[in-house]
Amino acid sequence: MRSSGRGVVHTFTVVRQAPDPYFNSKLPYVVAMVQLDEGPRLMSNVTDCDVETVHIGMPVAVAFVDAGDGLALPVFRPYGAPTR
Amino acid sequence: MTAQPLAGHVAIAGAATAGVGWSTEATPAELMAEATHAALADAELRLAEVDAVFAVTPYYWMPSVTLADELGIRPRLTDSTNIGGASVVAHVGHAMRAIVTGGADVAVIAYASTQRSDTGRLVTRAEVPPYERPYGALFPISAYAMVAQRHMHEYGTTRAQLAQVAVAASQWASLNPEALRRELLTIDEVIASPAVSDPLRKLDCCLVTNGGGAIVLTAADRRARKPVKVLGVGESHSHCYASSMRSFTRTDAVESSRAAYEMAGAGPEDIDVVQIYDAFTINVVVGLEDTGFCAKGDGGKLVERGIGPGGALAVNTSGGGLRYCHPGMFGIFLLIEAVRQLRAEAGERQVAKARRALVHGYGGIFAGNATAVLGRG
Repeated sequence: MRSSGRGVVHTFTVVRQAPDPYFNSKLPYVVAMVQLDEGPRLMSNVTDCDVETVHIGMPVAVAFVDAGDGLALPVFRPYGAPTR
Repeated sequence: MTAQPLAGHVAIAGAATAGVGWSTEATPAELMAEATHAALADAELRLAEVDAVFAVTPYYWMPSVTLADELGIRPRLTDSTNIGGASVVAHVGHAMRAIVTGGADVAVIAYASTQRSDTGRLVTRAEVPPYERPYGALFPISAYAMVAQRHMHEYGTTRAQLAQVAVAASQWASLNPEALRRELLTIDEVIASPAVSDPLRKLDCCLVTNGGGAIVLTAADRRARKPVKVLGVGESHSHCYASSMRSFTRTDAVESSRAAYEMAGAGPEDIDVVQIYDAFTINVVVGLEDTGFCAKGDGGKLVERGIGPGGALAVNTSGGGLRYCHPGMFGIFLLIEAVRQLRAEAGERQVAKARRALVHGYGGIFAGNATAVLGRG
């Protein structure tokens, strides 16, 4: 199945305490279940926005960030929002 | 409704806890053995009569065999099925079927963890899937936080209703001399406690303690001091991790409780006391809905009507994982509290005329579901 990379936030949480020190510098951050337009749901982060603006039903689109070691990590950003 | 043939043929003849507390020098195997010996004494049965051992704990590769070895016995049946906090409730069904079909005479089910003394946090064998690990979710809190968020969105469940679950737990715990947090909470205190993973706060989360417990099962026609009959059991398993959850607001407690009710020939209206695994406040809201005590989406309203002492429904009368104890998996304590209530041995927190109890275990992220309906006499 191919995906457009667009979807909506099905549900989410703002993480306030990191599971391990690697994530400390990122607090607070959003972990979300994203419902892709094609149907499947996946866990990801919603980035590049104020965590307080994230809400269920929010349109998002995929972005691939460099996770090191040649890995690209899919995260989601508000769809149509201005980029920094 | 008519009870099915398996209903009531097996009874819980003994139950006991061991090492419930903040510090211990015992190993989990020693705590499981201590609880087993106490449960056997409670049942007035001898260790030599035990021929089936069921156990679960994150500490050992083969927990049931570890416990048999610690007890120094050679059982003809063991079962270490691990479906998280639902495990021991599932073991009740497995043991019941073994006893009814002649595969066992006296079965022990045990659990223990010393996580508080060892690490001060949850000790688990849960592997974080590669599709989830890079995103920094707190296991298992963030997944339950997403359940709460979605439930609030779909059904209008409020932050205060979630807090009320912890308040009711604190009221029950204040009446339980074994509870490790006995001070009363207010809704405001819960909502003002430190944010962990929105909307869940510290006081929405279970304790991190040591502890263990065991129950002993035999055929119901065997002489026992105060037998509690296994009237119905059911299981259902829908997924393993959050990323494969079919729903964030509806759990397979619907299926597992339906099976347990059908076997028992009973329904929610016949239940006097309810024990639902409360790793987090939202679990009770969802669990009450999915085991049939209110319409879907009305769990928060039922909590508001009262699930504490003197409330509309007696739920988690020990104080639960939120306030009594929580050594990693709370399932065994749900069963033990149901037994104590049905035997009218629950002291100040005794629910009057408790004849039928429902126990529901949730394992992982609502992944494992096991329900038991238990009855007095």
